[in-house]
Amino acid sequence: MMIEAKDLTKIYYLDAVQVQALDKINLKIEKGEFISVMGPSGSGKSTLLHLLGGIDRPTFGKIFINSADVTKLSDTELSDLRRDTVGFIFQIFNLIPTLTALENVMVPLFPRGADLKWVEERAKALLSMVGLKERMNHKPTQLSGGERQRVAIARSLVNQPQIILADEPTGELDSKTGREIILLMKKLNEEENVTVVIVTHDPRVSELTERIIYLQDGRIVREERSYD
Amino acid sequence: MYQLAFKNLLRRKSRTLLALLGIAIGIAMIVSLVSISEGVKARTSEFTRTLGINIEIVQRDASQSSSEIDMDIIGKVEAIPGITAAAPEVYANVDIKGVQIERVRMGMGPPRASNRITLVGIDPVREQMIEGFPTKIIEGRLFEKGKTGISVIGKALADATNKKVGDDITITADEKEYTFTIIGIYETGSPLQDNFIVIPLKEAQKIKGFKSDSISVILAKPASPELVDTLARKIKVLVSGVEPRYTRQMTEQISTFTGQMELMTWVIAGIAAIIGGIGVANTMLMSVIERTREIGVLKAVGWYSSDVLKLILLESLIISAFGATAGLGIGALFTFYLLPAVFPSFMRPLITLDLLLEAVAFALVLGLTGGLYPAMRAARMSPIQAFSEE
Repeated sequence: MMIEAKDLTKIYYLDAVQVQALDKINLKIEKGEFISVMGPSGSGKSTLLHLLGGIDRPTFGKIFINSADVTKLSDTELSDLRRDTVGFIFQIFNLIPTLTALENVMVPLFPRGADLKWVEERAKALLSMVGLKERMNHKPTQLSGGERQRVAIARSLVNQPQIILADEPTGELDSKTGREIILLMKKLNEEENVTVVIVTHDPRVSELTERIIYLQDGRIVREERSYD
Repeated sequence: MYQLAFKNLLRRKSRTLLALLGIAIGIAMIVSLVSISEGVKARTSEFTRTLGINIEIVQRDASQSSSEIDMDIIGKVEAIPGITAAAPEVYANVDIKGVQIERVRMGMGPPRASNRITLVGIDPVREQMIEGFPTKIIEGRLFEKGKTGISVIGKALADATNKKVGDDITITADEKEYTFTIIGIYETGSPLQDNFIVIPLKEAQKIKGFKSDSISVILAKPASPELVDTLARKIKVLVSGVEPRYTRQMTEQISTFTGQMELMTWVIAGIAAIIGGIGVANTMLMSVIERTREIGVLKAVGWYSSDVLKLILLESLIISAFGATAGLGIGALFTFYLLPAVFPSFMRPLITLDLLLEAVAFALVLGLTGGLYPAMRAARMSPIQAFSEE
């Protein structure tokens, strides 16, 4: 079992109003799965992704990654988890505007810079893999939306994570580019056996995944598997 | 991490430059003000050193040139056990023809060049017994007792008037002219004393308008430096109407004065530098707030809070290090080129290695403290910020 959530609950307060973002979610994700999470705005799908990736802590419930209880980790150990086990891809790319594509891919390992040469080689290989070999020294503003998301994908892979968590990765892209991005992630999933969880509200994205989890009001209401 | 820090600072060049300038001005002020005060300190300690250990006896509440005391006090003073010798001196302010002498001033203020110099009348025999300053002859010789029309002059005066041994020097006092042949040149190292003209006591008394039993000051030589305090007290008790002054007392007064001056310059310059530090804090805080999402991304991809802290502190250290370097340059330029150009005879400023190191250390401490709050704020930011929409 790669990821397991038990009775996962998240409650937060917005101007003293209690909001139950997640309500006792139970979920199991196997290694190498390619999953999408769908649901209307406010259904809790992004919150679920934050909790699975160790970016936020649950109010109740447990998360296990490779059988280890993530909810018991310290802040530093959560940082280690985010750096070594999980790769994040964001809707709005979230690249550092002052850095080149290559440097952006290397950024997660800057503070650990023990062997930057090795990191650089890996970053170059990843950028070639996502088709940006010729654009490594361009800054984000000189890249198109699709190219920026490819840089972000390369960044999420720099430390060879076992899990990729993507929050609306195609939200800012046209449908053709969005499809290319999802197919790239699919290829990673198949070739590198990386577990991928994509949060989306776009059915054209989810139809490319193996399993679709539907959330509503913080609960899992339905699951679909495609067997093609 | 360094490249990221540099690139972040270059993102808003003018803002970074302004913060850097704030530090630079503060450091420049420290360097220039403190070096001027160090210069004054060095000059005054040089001055007091040349005075030696002799006790100077003057009329109470009078200066060297306004004092008038009886010659027979010498006998009373010499009778005090512990005093090995005493010598009379007459001080007068006279004008010298044809040249402008730069006057040495002990403090700051506009320099004065004038033709006014100090004339000192001495008894050569007694002066040698107390090892007075005119006995430090570097060229020619000191005059003998009873001779007239001759003088020894300080080296600075000789240089300024372009005179050498054998030349005549003419002075005026009360609209009368007096000419002396220079038979010797002395040097003490004190710019004040090295501008004096020294002549036989009797002639000085005449120029000054004193009777033959009146003099300006008496210098008394103690048997050893430790006795100075006790002897000065005894003189005060035994001889009425006079005031003993001695080097240690003067040194203490001068060092109190220079100490206060130094403290004040550090306070003024320190305030300027702290304002610079606040500028760094402001710049870094703005920058951190602007980069909220980016910092969230860094944390989301695995940076520790301490890594973010280091990044922001590194950025503020870079600003203050460059600011300090610029400040040292501006400060040195100001003290060594601009100041002498505007005020040619200003006190020689003194930049010591200690001062430079102190100024740089001060700038770095400012950078660190200025960057601390923004850095802590950044380190506390949540990685969820990376996901939030603007």
